[in-house]
Amino acid sequence: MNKTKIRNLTLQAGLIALLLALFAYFGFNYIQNISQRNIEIGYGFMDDTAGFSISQTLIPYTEADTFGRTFVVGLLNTLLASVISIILATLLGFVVGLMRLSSNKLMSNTALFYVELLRNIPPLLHVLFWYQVVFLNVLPPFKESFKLGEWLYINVRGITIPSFVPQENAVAFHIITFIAICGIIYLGIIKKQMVLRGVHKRLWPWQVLLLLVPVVYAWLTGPYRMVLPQITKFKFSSGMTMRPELFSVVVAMATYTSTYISEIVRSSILAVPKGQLEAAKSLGFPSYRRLQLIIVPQAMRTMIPPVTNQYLNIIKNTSLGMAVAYPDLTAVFAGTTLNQTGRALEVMALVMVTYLSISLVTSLLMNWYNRSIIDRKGDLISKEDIPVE
Amino acid sequence: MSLKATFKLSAAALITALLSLTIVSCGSKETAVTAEATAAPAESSTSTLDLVKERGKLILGVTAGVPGYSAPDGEGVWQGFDVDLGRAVAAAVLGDPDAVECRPLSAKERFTALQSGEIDLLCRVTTWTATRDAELGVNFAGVNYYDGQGFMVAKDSGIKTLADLDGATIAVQAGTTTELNLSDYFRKNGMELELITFEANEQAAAALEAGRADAVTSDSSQLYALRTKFKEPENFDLVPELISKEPLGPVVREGDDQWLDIVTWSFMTMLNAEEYGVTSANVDEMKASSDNPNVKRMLGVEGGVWEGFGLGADAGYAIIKSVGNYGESFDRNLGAGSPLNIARGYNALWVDGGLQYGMPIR
Repeated sequence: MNKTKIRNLTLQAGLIALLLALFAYFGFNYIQNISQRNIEIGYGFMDDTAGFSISQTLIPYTEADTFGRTFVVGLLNTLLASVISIILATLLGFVVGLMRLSSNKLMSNTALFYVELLRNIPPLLHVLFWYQVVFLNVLPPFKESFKLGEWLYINVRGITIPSFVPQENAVAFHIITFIAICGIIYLGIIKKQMVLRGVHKRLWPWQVLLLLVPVVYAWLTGPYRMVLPQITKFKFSSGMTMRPELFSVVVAMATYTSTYISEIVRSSILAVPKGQLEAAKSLGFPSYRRLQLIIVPQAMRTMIPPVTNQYLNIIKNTSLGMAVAYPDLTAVFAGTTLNQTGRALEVMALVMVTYLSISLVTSLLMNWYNRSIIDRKGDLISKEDIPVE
Repeated sequence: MSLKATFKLSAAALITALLSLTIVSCGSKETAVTAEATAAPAESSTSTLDLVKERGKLILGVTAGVPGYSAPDGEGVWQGFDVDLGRAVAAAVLGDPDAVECRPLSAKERFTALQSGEIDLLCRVTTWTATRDAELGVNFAGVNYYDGQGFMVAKDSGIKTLADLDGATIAVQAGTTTELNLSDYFRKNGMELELITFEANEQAAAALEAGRADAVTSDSSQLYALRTKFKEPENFDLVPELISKEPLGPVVREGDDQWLDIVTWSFMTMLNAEEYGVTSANVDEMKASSDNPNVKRMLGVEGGVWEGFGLGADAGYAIIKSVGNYGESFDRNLGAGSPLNIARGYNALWVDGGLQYGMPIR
């Protein structure tokens, strides 16, 4: 072992010892403070009655439920906002990214303007803008709601559409739909294998036929009943309402993050070697097939790791919804529940672990998808696209 | 590991450590202050009355600036409903209502400041509760404002009473007892509620103003203050009922009964003066010509009441002459004569159906 190695090892060991000592000191202090107050550390409080109400709940919840249930309610609200934001941000990002690459100057400049304007504003301002400016100051009051027939109401209290109540035969409809989707996927796999073996046979008409089965079934039997929104004194007694709080968070997150995703899409496409495009051209692929078969699959490889980062950012940034009263995990559990119970350490630790788990699971799924693409690229693209005589 | 990497690691370690510190300390802060306040020894060897006389001025603990209750005016002079009570005590003790030094205190500092003798009297929108009386070594000298959790609604909403709020959307500030009181009340009465929880009272009020919510709830004094910031304050009003009790009053150190009596009776004098129609304008005339024995005793014409407290005979007269009666002070700072425009409500005199009841001066 040379001198440098020894010095480095000593430094590292010292640092770790210092860290451990620091944590031990904080832990000791905490336990001492807690025991002075005759409070036991633990999650027993999760079974106590919460006593406060929450505006948006995906599962049944009343004030008589426990603090543990407020955690689930908050978590589901976080996941709801995250999932919608991720889907919208991906779609928007893709479209804007492709627009920026367009040879049409109007298109590419519009995209450039969109990206530069939105990504240089802090995300909190996005959220506040949609809530304070758009919802609270621009949209009409509840009683003078903007209406589109009987189906759509837009006002300061949110966006309301009819709800669909499942009927008795809804179960049968779900089963038929599920079977049809499985069939379509199965045919897709068969098709790929046939291509690899060099057999060319049309299977898509069968897939369309399978898709038509549940549609026709739904049309004939009506598994859902549409219930139009009904205005009562204070709110809609029926129909589905997207509250302004959720809307603001979702739109803010989707537009803000879509700018980053669009840049990732653009740079990934530019990163595909030019020779690939030229080769595709010389083989006579039309432009949309070039994009679909040659460019995007190769760009995907570069795209997915940075896009995963953006997804994680969205999940974490939904906690900004706290600023506009969106009842997510941070606002409900790390906010109100913490305040009511005073269990700072337990609540904060649980919330941190939860965000960590959501993020890790998301990365895991995205990495898994990434690997599956790379595998396929090696096999499929080269073989599928060479016409087999 | 390179030196640079080591630096990076140590920086990360430091940040982690700081973070954990913040989390840990957040949990224990509140109680630590209370514990300190409890432990502080009551300093009461000399009487507060002698101290104030010797010093020549009264040191009054007030808010850092709540309009109507205690806030500095354009010239930096403290004005307000709570300040008036301090001025009344100064007038009674020193004969000079302006011999008051106001000391702005945060909610956490207030009891410690009183305990340690830094201030003589605390008039800082402080709620009278059993725990405070029992554990903090302080005494409450009365209730000068009956506050409580109220509801502000738009006048054109057709909501006149609490019962009309069944099914309404209500905005509230997060993490307060207000939030819990509200849910409890609605649950108890079988009413439906949609609660939107904001980080700040101002945001909750803005939600009402924009029509996002049907009502905003908080302590009624807070709601009146929030209303002054609305674009059209005249379009909003409070429903008459309150769902919690927040009696606000002056606080003194425990262990000095004479001083407690002086503060209590300075306040009672203001209440009695309103009941008997004595105002700052007519107090000279009343003193000279009133036949009412209550008024005579109050203004020191007969009875020798004030000497019993260790004060001059004209202490009562000085209070009314300089500060006015309870109603005058209320109107000037909180009521119709102020931007807050608070209705008397529970703070009306008992003879008018309110709760303010001046003990008899005899």
